[in-house]
Formats: sequence, structure tokens, C-alpha cells
Amino acid sequence: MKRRDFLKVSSPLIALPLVLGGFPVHALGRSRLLDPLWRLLATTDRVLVLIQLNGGNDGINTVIPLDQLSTYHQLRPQIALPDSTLIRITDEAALHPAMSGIQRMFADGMVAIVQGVAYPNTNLSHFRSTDIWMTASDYNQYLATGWMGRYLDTLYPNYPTGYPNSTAPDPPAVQIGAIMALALQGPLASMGLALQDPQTFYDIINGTNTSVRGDIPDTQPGHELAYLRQVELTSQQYSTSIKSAADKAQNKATYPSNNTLADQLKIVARLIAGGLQSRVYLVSLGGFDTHAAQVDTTDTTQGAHATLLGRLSDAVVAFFDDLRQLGVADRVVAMTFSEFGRRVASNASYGTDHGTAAPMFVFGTHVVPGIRGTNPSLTELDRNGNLLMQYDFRQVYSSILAQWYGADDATLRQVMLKDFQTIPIIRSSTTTSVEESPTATGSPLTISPNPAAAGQTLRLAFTIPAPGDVVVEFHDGIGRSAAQFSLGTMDAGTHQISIPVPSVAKGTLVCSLRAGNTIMHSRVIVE
Amino acid sequence: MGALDHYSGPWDVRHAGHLLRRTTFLCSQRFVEQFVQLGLDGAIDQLLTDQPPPDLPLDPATGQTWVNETTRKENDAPYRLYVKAWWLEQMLRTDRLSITEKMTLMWHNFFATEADIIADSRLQYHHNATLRRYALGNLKELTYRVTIDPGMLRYLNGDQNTAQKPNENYARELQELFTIGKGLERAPGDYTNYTEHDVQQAARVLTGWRVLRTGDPSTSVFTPALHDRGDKQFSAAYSNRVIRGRTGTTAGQDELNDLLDMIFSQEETARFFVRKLYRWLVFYRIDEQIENDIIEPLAAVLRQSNYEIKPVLRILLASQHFYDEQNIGAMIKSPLDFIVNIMTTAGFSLPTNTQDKMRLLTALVSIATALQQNPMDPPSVAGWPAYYQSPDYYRLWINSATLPTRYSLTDTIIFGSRQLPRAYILDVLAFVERISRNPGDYTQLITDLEHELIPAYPLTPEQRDYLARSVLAAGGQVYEWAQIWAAYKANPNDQTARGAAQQRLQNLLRTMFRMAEYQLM
Repeated sequence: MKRRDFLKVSSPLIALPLVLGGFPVHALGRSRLLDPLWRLLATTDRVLVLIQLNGGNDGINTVIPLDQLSTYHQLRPQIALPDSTLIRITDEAALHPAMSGIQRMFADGMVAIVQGVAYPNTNLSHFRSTDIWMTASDYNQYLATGWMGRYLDTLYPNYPTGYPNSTAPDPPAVQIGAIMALALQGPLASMGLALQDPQTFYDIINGTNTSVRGDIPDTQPGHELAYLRQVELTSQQYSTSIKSAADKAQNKATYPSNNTLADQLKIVARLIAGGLQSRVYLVSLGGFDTHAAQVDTTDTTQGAHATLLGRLSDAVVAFFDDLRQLGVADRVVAMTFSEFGRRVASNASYGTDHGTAAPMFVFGTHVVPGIRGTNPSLTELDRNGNLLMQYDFRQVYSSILAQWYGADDATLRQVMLKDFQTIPIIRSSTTTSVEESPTATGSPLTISPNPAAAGQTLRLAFTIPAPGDVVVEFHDGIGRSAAQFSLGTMDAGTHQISIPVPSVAKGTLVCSLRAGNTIMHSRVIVE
Repeated sequence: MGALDHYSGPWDVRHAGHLLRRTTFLCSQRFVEQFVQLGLDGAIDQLLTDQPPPDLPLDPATGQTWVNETTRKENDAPYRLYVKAWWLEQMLRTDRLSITEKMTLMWHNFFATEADIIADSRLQYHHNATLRRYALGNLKELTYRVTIDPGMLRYLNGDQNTAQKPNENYARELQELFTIGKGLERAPGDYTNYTEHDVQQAARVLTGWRVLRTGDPSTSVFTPALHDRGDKQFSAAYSNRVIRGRTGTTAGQDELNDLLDMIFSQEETARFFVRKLYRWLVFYRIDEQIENDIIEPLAAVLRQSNYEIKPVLRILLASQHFYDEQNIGAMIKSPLDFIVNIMTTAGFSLPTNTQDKMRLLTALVSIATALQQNPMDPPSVAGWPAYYQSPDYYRLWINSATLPTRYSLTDTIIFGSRQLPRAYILDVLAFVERISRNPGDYTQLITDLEHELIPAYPLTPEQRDYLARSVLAAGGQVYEWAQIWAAYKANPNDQTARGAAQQRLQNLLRTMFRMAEYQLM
């Protein structure tokens, strides 16, 4: 990517902090220091949209293996799609004919497909398997928190106590709909706010009177009352910021009608463009449990599954078109997931029974485009006649956390509970600026304690390759310099230094350490 | 004293009200008083009395029923809504205090089906009628009836399960959700209580049942030619039982009886059901003590009674544990409890005209749907997550989307809206006169309103004081209310006097309906 392109692509990332902070743009300039700094700040603007396909999507009729067409027809006599209708996207794979929109995005390099995603010993119950995907557990492990809830907990510690606050004014996650997904469940509370429509939400909530609440006893009924009060309070606190975000932006693309997923994404686009700082959105499309009548008996390109995939495709295309017109497409990655795929062989009811592995789709301008993995083998199957797994779904989650949110190894282990090998899904940098900046290094700068409190001493550990003058500088969330320390000349090698926590308002600070031509960054939360 | 011993504390409004709220969809003091009069055992006798089946649902266009027609309606979708509306009408009934509808809904949540997927309103109705007919009967018999019920066969593809092309869907849910329950997965495909192999074998037992396109919509037929005649060898989880393969017209029934005998001879089956019943009627948390003191002994009663439901209900509803202070007011109202509570508290009666009645009832169904409890269309075969999803359970009914929707329903009842017919705006003046001995006395008024609206969770003195001073008196002097009320009573047709009293009461009721305590039962 050329520098000029970088500027164009990145402007929405940096525009918001600069404009809101009233910070003089030229002061940041184009210094070697600040490109990666901006990138760090920009991560707070990155949004992940999770698209849940409820019921177990038939992956084999979604991404069709062109190298095994005769087996495909043989095993799925009632539901196989005619060869001539398949939308070829690579030499090996084709999409369902209802997905022409996604095919165009694929051609534009905005789609990554991960083949054969499941987990070992896939559970064939919808509920249990949904829980496993939501909690990122092993097949025989029962967790009460969701994977995204655990990640957001690292960014919003102790949520909901002390939130919203000046640095975290918005809900960590927003779910469009009325059911709160387990994926967003944090250790203390759900990290998500569920709503169906921002304006109605605000209008109704605005009328609640909570001035007298009374003490809550430590009893079973008391605990339930405390929960109700918490929902009441959280709703009230966030209703204004959600409404104002929704009011700031109007959808610019035309969304398909009669498409519940499109209706949900439409709201998400407005909230993102309106500046809501939520990190995650969750939307869903139901009906994928196609045991029977997955296809029309007379035309396999029509029927329930075709309708659903068409809705998915049309909605995602309109959403990214809208995001592009709103100037925020580069901040958004969307990912599909479903509790399992379906049986390789079709059943006698023009449908398919519960299966195992299936492809996942990741959309966005920053994805590594193309297909990860190979076509699943339709003949090498498990003892129930199901596909073998190529990737654990937690590899995909880990990759997204690491490559999109920049989660470090320690965070990944804390969230995913063990190590999963990542796969390239998001391009290593959203821009080429880091590569162009030869002095930026990837060497780690560790800060402890983190979070830290005012008055405490911060310990910084780092390694520099050559002797040089060492300067440590802190910037706040909108790019203003908060403190600067000149530490004098240091030798090459590993160092540990102690400095006081900068006395600033609470929030996240970016710490930059410069030693000669070496620059490194890290973040520290001041509580 | 044992947790299941007969309750021996005071039988008053608080305890009789708790029994009423948990076993019916009602909460009003006028019904609570009936229970107080009857005494604990008398109230339970009343609740468990078998009821005649309700009248059949009617097509609002013709005033006739369609549920026994021999073919499906060509345009069936509206009729599915009519069946839902008809069920809501049963829940709204106040002419008898019976546990039947609460149990029918429990069975629906237990043997869950989705009208959308059954896609035949006649089957949808008959499935519900089966649940109601056996609601207070025998668990094993109900399981048998449900297994070959046309709606269930359709829903879980049992009607496509043949020797040639087995379909495991029902066989899996029968064990996972309807009888023995899934234990921990000890090894791949081994769920402690049964295995994947048992799912396949049960599917073979269940082959051959069909739902005919034309004919009696209340029964299915067994077709021997489609039935798997081989012996079915089950796993060690079922002590390696073999169900002998049969031929002939009774093969399906005989093998199904063997299958249910096998499953119901497992001790876990009774426990699994009792846990579901406990979460339905008492509270969601089942710890080791509840397991030992409540679940295990009730499961023993269920087995000893050969799976009759009534003996279990009788012991549970009369137990010390049921009336424990930890349980009263600890349940968050389900959307259907919430809706029927409001409608019956307000004292609305249904229109006599079939079409008007249908319009109102279908509006209530859509409100229930918005609140995430679309009757006859739960989210999945597991029923509503509020009854199985750990750790939140009932709390799942309430989130930042559904709580405002609950507020808008109560606001609508008080202030009116386009959604509901005019007759369903609460006449707040008549309402307080009905429920309060002395509405002009603000202390008495607030006490009486609290008993009527928020009986399960007592307010604090500060909250009552706030309601009087800041809401009823709107920040003015509380004694003014007596004058406002007196002015209205002296001249009820004077618009100004009437409007002043009405406005104060509307604000008071709106605030009380929006209190978090209102959501508890």
C-alpha cells in the first residue's frame, strides 16, 4: 500500500480523537514516533460485529467443494445444488447461488473464509454446542462466562461497577435484539446492552424514576431485586449515549427489506458511525436448523437455506456499503458463527441433520482475503458421518483478538484459557505505516502494575539494542501529552526503571519509550 | 423439621398469595382472599381439581372451530395465531382457581414444540390439548402420548423416521430433554445417562410413525412396513437392555412401551423431572441441600406413585420449603405472568364479540412475543432459557431491551395507546375505589396499592414515603391529596376535580408499575 492510500484509509481512525480532543494536528505531525502511536490509539476504535447463524448452518451447501462434486451429488441426492448454478470463487471452492453479494466482496478482497471450523468431540445438541461456542469451552467443560465477556473484562475491569465513566462512556458491547448472548457474559455482569431500537429505548427509559431504591437485603429475593435494579440503572445510564450516537448518523446505503439481519445491521452502522465507543456488536439470524425442507423439492437452489443465505449475503453487502459511505468501514470487521455444521449425507426429508465442522466468514477491508484451509473431505468422516475438523473455533477467536484488537499473549491466555495457534485472518497492520517506519520495533515494553493507581510507582522493563538517550512519554486517550521523563543515556541491554504514575484523570494512557532510534509502546490503565 | 414437612406457619395473605402466584397467572387480592378462606389444604385441593376441557378455539371469521377438519387450512398462518390467542384466553380465566394452565405451560416448556415448524394449526391445537389433558396425570403416560402426538412427530421429524432412513432427532431429545436428561459427557458420545449409540437405537425403536395429510388431525398412524424389525441393543448406561424387534400393527406401540419402561426404570428420570418442576414452581438454584432435601425425596415419591404427578405437587406445594421466606418474591415474573397479572389486576374482561376478543388476545400474544415468550413458539426444543440456562435463569427475561418493553405495556394500560382498544385503559379512579378501603387517606391508599400490585416483595418505609410525597403529592404537601380526593368524590362529574385526582393516581400507578419490585413474584 502506498503512503497516499494509507492516509485515505486511515483518516477515519485518527479523525475522531483529533477532532474531539481539539488537539493541533500538526503537533503530532508525521514523526516516527507517532504513526505507531496513532495505531495504538486507533485500536480503541476497532469494532467487531458477531453474526450468529442460529440452528447450525449447512457449510457444505454454503461453500461447495468443487474438487469433490461427484461425491457431493452422490451423498446429497435431494439437496445438492446443480453445478451450473454454483458461484465459483477459487479453483477449488464455490458459493451457494444465493450469495452473489458475498462473492463480489470476495472478489474485492473483503472476505476471509476459514474452512472446517469446529472443536474436538462436537456436541450435537444445539444448546450445549451454542454454549460451547459462546463460552469458548472444551466439549466437556462448563463455563459461566463468555469468551468476549472475558476479553472485555480485561478492558473494562470490574464492570459494571464504576461505569460509565469519562474514559468509558459507552457500553462495552451492544446486542441488537432482546436476548443477551452468553458470549458477552463477563465475570460480574453481561458486558452487553441489548436493545431493539435506540430512539424507543431512550424514550421509554427516560421515564423511569429511581430516586428511592432502599437497601437490598442479602437474601434470594434480594439478589433478584439487585439484578433488576442493575439492569434498570445500566439501561438508564447508557440510553442517552446510544440515542445521541444513533442521532448523529443516518444510514446512507439501501438495505434489503424483509430481512431481519439487515434491520439489525442498519442500527449497528448508525451507532458505529455516530461514534459509540462499544467494541463489539452482536446480531443474529435464525432458522438454520434445516432438518427438513432445506431446499425446494423441485429446485434445490430455492428453499429455506437459500433464503437464509441470501439474507445473510444481502445484509452484509448493504452493511459494508453503508459503512464505506459513512467513512467507517476500515474500523469494522464482521464474523459469522454457528453452533455446528450439518451432516454430509442429506436425509430423506430434503434436509440435513446436525453435523460438525463448517466454514466461518470474516468480512472487512482489513481481512487477509481468501480461503484458509482446504475443502473438507466428503469421504474421510468421523463415525457419525460428519466432517473432520481443520481449525478449532478458538483459533479463529484468538486470531481476531490478537490481530484485530492487538491482545497480547498474556491476555489471550487469560481469555481463551489456553494457547491456540493463530491463523492469518486480519492483516498484520491495518496500514503499512509501521513497516515504512524502520525505527519502530516490536520489542516489548512491559509496565507493572497495570492497572495502576495515582501515587504508585510504575516499573518499566525493556531492552534496547544500542546505547542512546532514553525518553518516556505518556499520551492520554485523545493524544495529549500527559507526562514526559528524560532518563539520560543508557547502555544497550535490558533495563528496569521506576517512574511515578502520571497524575492525570483516570483512563488508558499510551506509554512511548524512545532510545535513540528505537521506539516502543505499551498501554497502562490508571484507575 | 424437614423441608418437605407440611407447612405449619401462619396461613395469611402473604403465604396464600405466594401459592396463588406460583400456581396460576393471577395475583390479585380478591383471589388471594379465596385461598386464605380455603386454608392451605383446601386451596391445594382446589388447585388440583381436574377441570373439564375448555371450549375449542373458534375461527373469528366464521365463529366455528376448524381444529378437527381433515385437511390443513390452505392459508394456515393466521390460524396458528388464533390457537395462541385461545391459549392466552385460558390463562386469563378467573372463573376457577386451577393449576391446570400453569402446568400446561410447564409441559409446553418441557415437551417444547414450535408452531412455526409444525406449520399446521390443527396439530398445534391438539398437541396443546394433549398436554392439558394429562397435565395433572401420569408422567409416563404423557410421555407416551407426546411421543406419538402428530404435532411432536412433525416438529422433531419423527414422521420421517423410517427403517430405511432413520432420523434421530426425536430419539435424541426424548432422552436429552424429555426424560432422563443429559449427564456429563464422560467420553465422546457418552453422556453418562445414555450414549450416542442409545440415540441411534431409540431412533430405530421409534421408526414407522406417520402423520397423514388427510384425516383425524389428533392421531398419528403406525405403518409396520416402515418400522425397523431388528432387535435394539442399548448400551451399558441402560444395563445393555435389548428391546426385541417386533412386526405387525402393534409393533410400534409395544416397542415404545418397552423403551419408556426402560427409561423410566432409571432413577435419574424421576430426578430430572422433579428438578424441572422445582425450577418451574419454586426457584432456579438447586444446590446440594436442595438436591438432598427436596429433589431426591420427591423423585422417590414420583417413582413410588408410578409417575403420577399429583402426589408430588401436593407435597411440594404444602411444604415448609415452598413457603420459606427465601422463596417468596424470589422469582422474576415470566412475560406471561406479567401480562396476565396486569390484565387481571386491572379487572379487564374480554369482549364478547369473537372478532374483538381475537383482536385483543392477538395483541397480547405480540406483547408476550416482544417480551421473549411467544407461547407455542419457544426459541428451541429446550423451551425458554429462563428455565435451563445457568447461571442466570429467570434473570434472562430481563435485560435492557425487555425491561423498557415491560414499562411500555404498563404505561399503555394507564395512559392508553394505539396498540390496545380503548376499553383497556385502566380507569384509575374506579380501580383505587375497588381495591382500597379509604383512597382519600394517602397512607391507606399506598398500603392497599402495594398489597394489590407488589405483594411479593415489601417496600421500605422510605419508598412508601417517597411514593406519597414525591409522586402522589408531586412534591407538594401530602395532605393535599385528601382534599383532591374529596373534591372528586363530592363532584365526580366535574372535569377539573376528576382530572386532578386522575392525574395524581396515574403518576402514582405508573411509578409503582415501574418499580423493580413489581417484576418479582
